[in-house]
Amino acid sequence: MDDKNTDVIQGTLDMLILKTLSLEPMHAFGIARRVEQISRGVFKVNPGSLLTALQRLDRAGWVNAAWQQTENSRRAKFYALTHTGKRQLEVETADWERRSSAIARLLKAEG
Amino acid sequence: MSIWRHLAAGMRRLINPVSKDEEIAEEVRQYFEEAIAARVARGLSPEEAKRAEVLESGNMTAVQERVRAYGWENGLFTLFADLRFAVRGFVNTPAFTTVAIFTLALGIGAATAIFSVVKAVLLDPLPFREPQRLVHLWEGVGDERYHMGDEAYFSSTRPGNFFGWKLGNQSFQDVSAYFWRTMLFSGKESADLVTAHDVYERFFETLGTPVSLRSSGTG
Repeated sequence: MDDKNTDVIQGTLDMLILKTLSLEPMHAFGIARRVEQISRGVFKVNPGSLLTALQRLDRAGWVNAAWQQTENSRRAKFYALTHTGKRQLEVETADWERRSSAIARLLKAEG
Repeated sequence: MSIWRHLAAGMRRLINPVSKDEEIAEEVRQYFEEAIAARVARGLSPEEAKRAEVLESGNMTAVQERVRAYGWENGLFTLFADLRFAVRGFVNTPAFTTVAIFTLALGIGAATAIFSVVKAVLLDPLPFREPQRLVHLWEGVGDERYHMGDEAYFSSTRPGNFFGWKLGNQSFQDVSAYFWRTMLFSGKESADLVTAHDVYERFFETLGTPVSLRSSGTG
């Protein structure tokens, strides 16, 4: 079923995390599950990369972290987007759209 | 802004590394629990779920280590570990340590001493006003004793010659002279032989050195 999943494209993990957190605060596994589900299993997030990225985003001030109860009443570290995080998401989204449309044009170009 | 958060987070971890490490360990453990539970919910047995998760995400400890490796403070942790290792090594081999420290001390001391001399003799300007304009004149004599190779050096100038130079001087602002001799310097209980110079008038003005104590008109 999900044999064809790939690692997240280099350099886009931060953007995917910020986007996922813009919907609602979430813990790390929630982020991983959401990315996998919404990409229909194309992208698989490795926990090592994900948790390292979350440390980085926390230190950059783009997310805030706090321990809370999960829906199945376990304690988990929840991450929420900050104001600067929201701005950063806009910047990265615009940048990504510029790049991906350029690549799409290049690939469609015919001699 | 963000650099302060980086700095503050790193400092907090340096001050209390254990709590942050435990927090990371706890978060990773919690992640694996959730991931395994999600697989069980999809119909795997707990053992199969665990194996599948480890196969895909890697060993839990490895993930913890990877997350811990993030942050500038890890460089310091490595440095501290190296320092601890070094100190333990020194304590375990006191003889070697003593010799090593002694050798270093000697080396540093010798280098410092040699440099002090080099600095005073070669690098520092002479303690005169405009030392580059100062010229030392002396009379060459035929006597072999006052020769170094082909060059005559340091011999007393006859007074007549000195006055001749002083009168005929057109190149220098001032010409003065000194006479080297030893003197007996005696106090109440002891006496010392000291090196002294008789100096001609305007000697200190010529050198451009301030003089704290002198009687005028020495000749």
